[in-house]
Amino acid sequence: MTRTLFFFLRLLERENSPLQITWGICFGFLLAMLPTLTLQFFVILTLFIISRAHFPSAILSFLITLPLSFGLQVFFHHIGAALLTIYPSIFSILEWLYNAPIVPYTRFNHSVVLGASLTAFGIVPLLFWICHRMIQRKYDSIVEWLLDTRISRTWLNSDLKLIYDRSSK
Amino acid sequence: MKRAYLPGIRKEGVYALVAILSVALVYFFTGLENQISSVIERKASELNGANVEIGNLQIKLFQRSIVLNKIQIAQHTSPMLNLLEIDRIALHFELTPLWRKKVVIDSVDIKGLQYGTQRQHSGSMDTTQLEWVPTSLLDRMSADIYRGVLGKLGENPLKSLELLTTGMDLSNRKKTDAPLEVSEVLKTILRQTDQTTLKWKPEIEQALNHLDDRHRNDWAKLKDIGNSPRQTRNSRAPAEINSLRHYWQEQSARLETLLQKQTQESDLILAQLKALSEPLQRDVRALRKRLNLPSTELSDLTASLLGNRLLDQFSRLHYYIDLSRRRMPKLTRTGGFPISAHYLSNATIVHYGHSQSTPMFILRQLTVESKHDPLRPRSIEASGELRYLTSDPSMLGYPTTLQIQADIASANLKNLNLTVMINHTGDHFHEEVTGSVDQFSLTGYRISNLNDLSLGFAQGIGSSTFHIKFLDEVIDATVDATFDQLEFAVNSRYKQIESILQDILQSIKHTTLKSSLKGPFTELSFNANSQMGKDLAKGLSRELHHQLVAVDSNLEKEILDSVEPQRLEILRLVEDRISDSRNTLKDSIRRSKDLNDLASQVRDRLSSVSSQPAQPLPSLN
Repeated sequence: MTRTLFFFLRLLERENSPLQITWGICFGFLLAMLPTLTLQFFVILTLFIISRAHFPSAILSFLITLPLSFGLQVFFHHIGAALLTIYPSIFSILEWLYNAPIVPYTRFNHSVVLGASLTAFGIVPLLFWICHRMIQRKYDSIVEWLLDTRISRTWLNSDLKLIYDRSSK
Repeated sequence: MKRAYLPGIRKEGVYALVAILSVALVYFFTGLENQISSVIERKASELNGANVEIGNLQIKLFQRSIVLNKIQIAQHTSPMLNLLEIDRIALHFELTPLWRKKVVIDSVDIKGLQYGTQRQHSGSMDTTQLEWVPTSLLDRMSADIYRGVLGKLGENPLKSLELLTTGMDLSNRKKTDAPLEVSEVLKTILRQTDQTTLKWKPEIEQALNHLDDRHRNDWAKLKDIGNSPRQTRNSRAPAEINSLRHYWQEQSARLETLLQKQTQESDLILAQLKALSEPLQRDVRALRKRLNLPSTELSDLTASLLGNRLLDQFSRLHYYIDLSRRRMPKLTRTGGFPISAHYLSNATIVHYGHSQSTPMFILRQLTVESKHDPLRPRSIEASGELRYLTSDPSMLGYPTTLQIQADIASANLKNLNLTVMINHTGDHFHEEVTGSVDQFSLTGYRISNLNDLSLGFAQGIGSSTFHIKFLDEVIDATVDATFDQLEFAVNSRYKQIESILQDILQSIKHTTLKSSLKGPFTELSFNANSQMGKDLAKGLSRELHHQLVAVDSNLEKEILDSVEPQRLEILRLVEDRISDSRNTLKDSIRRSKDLNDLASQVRDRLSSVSSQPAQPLPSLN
């Protein structure tokens, strides 16, 4: 029980630089937005697993974005269907992609997948920039506020903290 | 110093990824076969509308083949039977197209084909357990288009034979309360009669208005002139007499015209009353239909007897055609560029590529080769070949064709040649099924199965040719068949029915059947004729006719009895009103003529030079 608790505490504590928290938020956002069983989903999942992104912020971001992405399915379909069927000028590119190696596994010819993927990859740089700026600016004050909360103070003055510190070494 | 924006690599993450991939690989080589097998079973069951079961599935990646053993496809109409049972299906696929997410199956070999085999357990799908009703079950309803034609085929006239045994006694049958046409006609006549005859009285009153006074005055005036001595007479007397004569002649003619008009109108009403035979006949026919009495106007029973079976087969075929259309993407051209798309309820899947480019799925060749096994009577001796089955033939540019040659020993079916062509390569859906069967057994084929009658072929052999073409929403199908060495099986608990039918059918040993189904789905026309159908209709009509003649006259009498009060009311109305007005008119005409005669006498008297005393002039009545 204590070990599990310490494991989660370590997860919260590790990779908690502003940049890593930002990456965590972005990965969570992408994983929630991208349809599963597509190549891009697995690529992002792999990158998330191997990167030193902040895990809890990714989970939080994922949980917040997931209902949003379900709600926007119709919107994604309209964007995807428009790109896939309305503009003949890009059909030759789409045809080339459709017959190219690997690319068809992105399921880009599915209107919802294309709409969701383009929206997700379009938004993520902006999200990264905003989150990074905000977290950098407010990082110290947030940490200070967190440490000043009753729970933190209780935790920091507890014997359990000593045990945790010892186990961490 | 350049700022780093990447979070870096987590060593534990790499280990976790390797572990996940290892588990996936192990699963691929151990549990994937079962997974794929169950997915195929589920999808195929949804398409079939009844369970499809696979004994086992083996993926041999390095030999590029997938083998399915012991496949059972249940019949959705009889779940304890298999539509098909196949011992082994081997698929050989290409590896390199998988790189481009294209599934190219070089060949499929089917062995050990059987049909109609008994199942150990029911193959029906439990749709209540499903979260959604499979599309195939909804699709199957598309065959409902044939129900319109089936409805037009009408009742099976063989049902009427039952009446021959019980007689056409109407006393125990529930009489209908539906309005009779005769009654409606009589109501109209009554209304017209009332309106017409009501006009007569005012017309006559208007015609006779002041005529009485004038008549009395003119009569007195004429008598005065006639009786006055010559020397006292006015010199204008002849002119006055002529004027009176002319006036009363005109009045007489006018009143006669009026009388004639009324007579014509009353004659017309009486004629309408007599001319009720046509609506009466229609009432008899309607009543006969409502009482479920048969029609004797039968010309050919082929459509009624064999139509259901033929249309059922058409609808089954149409289901699969419809299914292929729904499952294959629809070709569209946007800006001259051909794309094909699946339009789903909440998404669109688009496929790109000109004709000749490779679609996502191709089955290049499917071959069926099986031999009849005497130990397994339901086995089929079949050989067939299917080319270019693809989810998207519009991109491959070839129509899908299937050719099958089969012998089914258990059904005594010899040399079935079947060619199926599915062409979705153009802008239109086009499918054709052409084929022939050199011989098939008719033994045990039921024509009609009614409560008290079972009619079928006891023996006989048939041969058939068929050509069925679907072009978008239009069907053009012809099925011709020849039946030889016919012997019929008639079973009924009424011996009378058996003997009647046997008498009719015993002479039919050979017949040809011609049937056609044409037109758009919304206005399908179905025709079927055969000598057998004509002979049956003729014999049945003959048997029913003499009993129905008596029934018809009974019905006629009943109808006329029911409307007799209405008829009498009309006659009374005509009689009452006409007799009044006619007498008045006749009296007025007579008096006009009398006055005219008096005027003539007075004129004669005036012109007479004789000294003899004149006859006394008549007095006014």
